[in-house]
Amino acid sequence: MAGQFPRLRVEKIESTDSFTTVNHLFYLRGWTDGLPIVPPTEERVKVMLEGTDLPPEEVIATLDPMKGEATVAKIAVNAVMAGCRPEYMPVLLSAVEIVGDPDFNLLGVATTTNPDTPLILVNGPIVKELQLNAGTNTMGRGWQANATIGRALHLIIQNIGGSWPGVTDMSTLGHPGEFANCVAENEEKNPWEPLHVELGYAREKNVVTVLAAEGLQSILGSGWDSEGYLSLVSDHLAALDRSYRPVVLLFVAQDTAAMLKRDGFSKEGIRKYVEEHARVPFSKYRKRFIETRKTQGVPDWILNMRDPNAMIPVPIMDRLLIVVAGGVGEKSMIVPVWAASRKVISKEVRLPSNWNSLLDKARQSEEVMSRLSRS
Amino acid sequence: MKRGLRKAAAAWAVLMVLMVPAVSFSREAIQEWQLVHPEGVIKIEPMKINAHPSTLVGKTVLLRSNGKHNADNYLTRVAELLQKEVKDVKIIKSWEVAPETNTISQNPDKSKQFAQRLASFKPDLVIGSQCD
Repeated sequence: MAGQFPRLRVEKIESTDSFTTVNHLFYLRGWTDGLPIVPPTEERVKVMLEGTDLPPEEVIATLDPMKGEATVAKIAVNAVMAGCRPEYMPVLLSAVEIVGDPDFNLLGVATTTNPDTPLILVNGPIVKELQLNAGTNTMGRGWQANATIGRALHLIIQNIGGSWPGVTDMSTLGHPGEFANCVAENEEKNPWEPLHVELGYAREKNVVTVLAAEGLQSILGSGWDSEGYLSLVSDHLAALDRSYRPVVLLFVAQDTAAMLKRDGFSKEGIRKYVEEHARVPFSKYRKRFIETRKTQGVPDWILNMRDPNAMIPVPIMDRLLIVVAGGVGEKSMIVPVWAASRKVISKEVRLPSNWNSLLDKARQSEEVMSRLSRS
Repeated sequence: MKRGLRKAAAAWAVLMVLMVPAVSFSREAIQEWQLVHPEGVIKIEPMKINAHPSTLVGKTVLLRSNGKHNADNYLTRVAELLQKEVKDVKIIKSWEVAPETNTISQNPDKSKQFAQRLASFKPDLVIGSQCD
């Protein structure tokens, strides 16, 4: 039923069990992600719009593949459905703006057969203010902000952009991150510059970065010294399937980051090590990439190589982003970014004029709920 | 006797009322919700599509490969069949005349560039390989 529904702004539903009826109807229309949604009543959407001072009709982005207009109001509707709180709106609006940027290539990301999905990375004081989880299980479940902001973005790409599985989104396997894929950097435990500072923002700024993330590769860093760990990371990278990746993201576990820093590795030092060691012999490279014609982005010096034992970098990367995230431990992760999404796009989060009162209201509500839960 | 019967009947009536379980006959309340739809307004730009040629006899057919595996093999077979079936058809293979287009375009701007490059060969019909 994707795309086949009445083109109304507001629809009246009458039922003795409206929650179930709405969920069933929305599911049949292709408006959910398969999980129950919070019905977007007019009242709930009005409350969600308190999270921004932008006019509801303002178009934040035009989203591929169907070129749907992501207005502030429509973003709020999907935010309600995902279970967001109003104070999450500024981060969500920034994320929508990013995926609407032509350089993000949402048309490709949202329709490709490749298993990729937008991954939201958040930096700055807003992480604590919104109680985004940057520690244990940051990529997993349990925190409303991480779960619902990530979920809302995917509902927006689906419902506003028109990316429907099997209709316009032809991903062979899909990606579990399409339910929620929102991570905060653990800046407290980062011994180097956090991502947003590296990208040119002041440390106190709130910044959202969105990447077209592919499948995750776990790196068991336990027991390795610094060189051993980086050698492991290099071997993982050298086994990747594409000869060229504009961006690869490396989530470094906090204890591993501390070890690397202690042993004198800066982020640039890590990148240099990886570039020198993530390599395969040309004989293998030729079989994997040249004979199969997967040579997009490969420079001529490699294509003209003759020595079968020459070590060739895999993949050639424009950027290796290094982010410290997660809880205590030494378990890292490599996240390859889809090759056709060429740039790292970040936006500073624009806070509404009522931001402090919004946060106060959220705190008061939490205090009330905490008291209720203890009684 | 009659008074006694009436008293007994009244007592039975009270007893029956007390024994019958309390049943609510009120209907479940109907909830009425006004829901805002989540889909975006889609602005469709009308596109003029060229008329299909009524015949391929004497026409130029450009076969466009997107560089994916076997795209060229498949289109070469299409070329063979066309040349067998259609009189005086001229076949152009994109991967031979414009090898720089023998790859996925990856974005709308590149798609347009590729289309313009291939249009410069002035085909009457383009048959393209898509996706994987």
